[in-house]
Amino acid sequence: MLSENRKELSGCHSKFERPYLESPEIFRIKFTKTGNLRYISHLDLQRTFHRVLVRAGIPMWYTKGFNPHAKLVFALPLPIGCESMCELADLKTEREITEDEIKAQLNTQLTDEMYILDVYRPDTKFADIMYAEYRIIISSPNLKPDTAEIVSKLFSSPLYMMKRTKSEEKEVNISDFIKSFEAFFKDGALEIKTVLSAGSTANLNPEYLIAALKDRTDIFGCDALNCSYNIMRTRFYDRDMFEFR
Amino acid sequence: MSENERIINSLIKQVSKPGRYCGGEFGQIIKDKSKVKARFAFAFPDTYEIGMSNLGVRILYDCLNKENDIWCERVYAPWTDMQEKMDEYKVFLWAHESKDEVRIFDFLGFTLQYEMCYTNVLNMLRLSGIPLYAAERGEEFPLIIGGGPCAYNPEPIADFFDLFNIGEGEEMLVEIVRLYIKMKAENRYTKADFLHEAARTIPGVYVPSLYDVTYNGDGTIKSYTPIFDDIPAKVEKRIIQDMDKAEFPRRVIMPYVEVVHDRIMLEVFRGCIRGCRFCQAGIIYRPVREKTPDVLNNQAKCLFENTGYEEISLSSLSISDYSGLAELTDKLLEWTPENMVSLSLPSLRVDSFTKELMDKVATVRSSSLTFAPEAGTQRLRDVINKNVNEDDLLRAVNVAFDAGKTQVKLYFMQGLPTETEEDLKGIPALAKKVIESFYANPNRNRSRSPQVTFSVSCFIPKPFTPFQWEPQDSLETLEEKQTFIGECVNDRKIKYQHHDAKTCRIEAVLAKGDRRLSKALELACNEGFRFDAWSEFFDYDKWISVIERAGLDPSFYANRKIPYDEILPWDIIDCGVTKEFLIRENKKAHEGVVTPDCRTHCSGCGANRLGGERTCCPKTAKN
Repeated sequence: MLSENRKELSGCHSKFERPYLESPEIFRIKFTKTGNLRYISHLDLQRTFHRVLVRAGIPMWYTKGFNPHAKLVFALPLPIGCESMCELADLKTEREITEDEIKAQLNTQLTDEMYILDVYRPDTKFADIMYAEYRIIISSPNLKPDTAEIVSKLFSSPLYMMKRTKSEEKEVNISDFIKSFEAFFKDGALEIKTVLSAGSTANLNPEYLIAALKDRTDIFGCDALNCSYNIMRTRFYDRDMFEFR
Repeated sequence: MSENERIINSLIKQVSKPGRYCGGEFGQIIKDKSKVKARFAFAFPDTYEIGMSNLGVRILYDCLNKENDIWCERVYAPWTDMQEKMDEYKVFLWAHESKDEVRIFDFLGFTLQYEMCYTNVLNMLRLSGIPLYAAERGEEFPLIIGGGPCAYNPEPIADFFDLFNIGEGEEMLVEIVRLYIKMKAENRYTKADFLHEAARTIPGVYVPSLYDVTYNGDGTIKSYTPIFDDIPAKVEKRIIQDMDKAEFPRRVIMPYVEVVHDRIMLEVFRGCIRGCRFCQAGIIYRPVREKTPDVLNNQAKCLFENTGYEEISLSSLSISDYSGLAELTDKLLEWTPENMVSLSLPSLRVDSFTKELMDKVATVRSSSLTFAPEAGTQRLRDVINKNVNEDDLLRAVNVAFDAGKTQVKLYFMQGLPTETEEDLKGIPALAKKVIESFYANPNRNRSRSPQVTFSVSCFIPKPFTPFQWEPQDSLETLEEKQTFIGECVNDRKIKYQHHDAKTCRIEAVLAKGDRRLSKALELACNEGFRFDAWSEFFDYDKWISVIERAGLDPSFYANRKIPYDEILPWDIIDCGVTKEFLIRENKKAHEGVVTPDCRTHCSGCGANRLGGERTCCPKTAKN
């Protein structure tokens, strides 16, 4: 009955029909998180992703112990409000399944605002992520021909801001966290392409750039309803600026 | 992206818990609005986290959206920070899925789960830019409809609504929208004609504006008169005849943010065989109608596969009274363990709590068990017809202690009719006996000390209960009793909690109120009342002030002993159970005589004339 229902649902077999592996395998999934789902916190995402894996019939490996749970590790939390085309997570399976099956089965249980782009066997560790690339698009009636230049200049010189860390709030030069920065006009909006420090050693939330623009330029003015910005995480890099996979 | 959506997005960025507002859940229904004939905004007048936990909303969302030409969306009460932003930027309340303003919808339906949400209902109308009073709304505004348990006495809010659903809405709600679509297609729709035709042709529909109410000099009701002679003088509630065939949502909306009940809710049966005399749910959902274990097992599998939830809660009023409980739990346990799914039972009666049952349900995760003796002495438990005794409770807690549990939670009520000091002393005394039986249990968990938490709420007389004529204790008495009970606790292993008596008093006023209360609610809305079910927003003095300024006396509704022959505001509704039965039960309460449960013996409540499959009624309307 279980497997019949599931076949009807997603066209796949019950996970119990799959043979056990000799030892668990790790797969990396690359997925999007866009649109409405940018407001879902990392904690909520972690919790709900487990249910996606169950619905999709992925033969997850469960921790042994008093309260068994599936093993799922996310690369780097995405700040609330940011979209992404490059989220990564590793999952551990205990029965035979292919990359294509994982992708197809998961996508039956996801929406166009969050779906799997790729599934592969990883040969890197999330700790090797050093940078993340973001694309920021700003619409505002206050944009002027020289805005791109002003903005580029702002982020290429020392820029001191109060920055929160786990334990304290202190003034730092946020330019130290900016690996590269480009601003230009596209389709009437200001577009910024920037690579920021990311990971456990140094990390900069791209919202700091927005805060700096609000504080030190007149782009956002006071007309909050007619100004908007959108941040998209597009890529991860390692220390040598090779794309992280 | 629509202009409205863009503006709402900019507000979402500025408030706490943006996940409440963003939508985009797996399982939400998106339709092409140019291709649907009616748009229905289904509102839960509280936060997203509470509204998403309600099974009824999920069922009705599913029923409406199964119709291709109807699009039902959800609406929740925005939190106060969002309300401030909406007022600041002049943004009207929107529907969750499309983010379109609800004021452009054809219908705005509210589910009325508790009286203290009434101010949220009015505030949501205000936030939508919709006039509060039905009489003040033109054809351009949505039809405002209400349903749910509070619709059994809709009178305090009757002036604000165009129409109420009385009873179970699965079929009725679709019929209402169908009639609307039909009248529009035939070019004969006006709001007034539609309301008349709905009241005339759809059973369970109550249109308050079609009934004139007159009052006696003392404030009691003189008469209810239908203004047309082709509409029912009393509106009989609708029920689903066969629960096995009732619609149940296969495709479930999966919230991302954590909601109150984040698990599979498997509705096992409707109604309750018990007939506790204070309990409204035990009367208004009669007759008992069960689903069969096979149907439930298949529904549970389907829900598991469509949700991935790790817990199945068997939800019904008194789950251990389900006649197929052993068979159902056995069937579920054939597949739940290997899928890492656990079972839970929300309400347990002490007389049916066994070791076998406890072993089957998810008790590993929580070390605490909850029972509701409701009253402290056998005499008072007989008065309220709880039909459990102390031995049952002590046997049940010993089952729990045998299994290593150390924490027990007990629910009681104070202010019950005929209550004496002995009854109040009996509450902490019972808690003490539970502690004593822990230490007397040779199999107890010796590594931890026991903890008994007992929670005491105030009796609130509710419509359609044998206690509907009973007065609530005065506020002073309720508060004195709360203090008295606290003084009787002298053991650190016993923890005492109690409800806010002031909220209970206002709830009593709203529960038993009549149409004149709409004035007080209008004042409350204009003065910014909202989230009154949340203690941080409830202000008793302000409530008393608006009720008094409406020319009303709270004691008239809450603290008056009502004679049996007085016309009650909710007499306009027929819930199936007869007034004669309720009077009989009220008299038996004062005599301290219990009534057996429906399965043991039929007490002739009258609900059997509504019919129903797999009831325990000896004679239903069908045979």
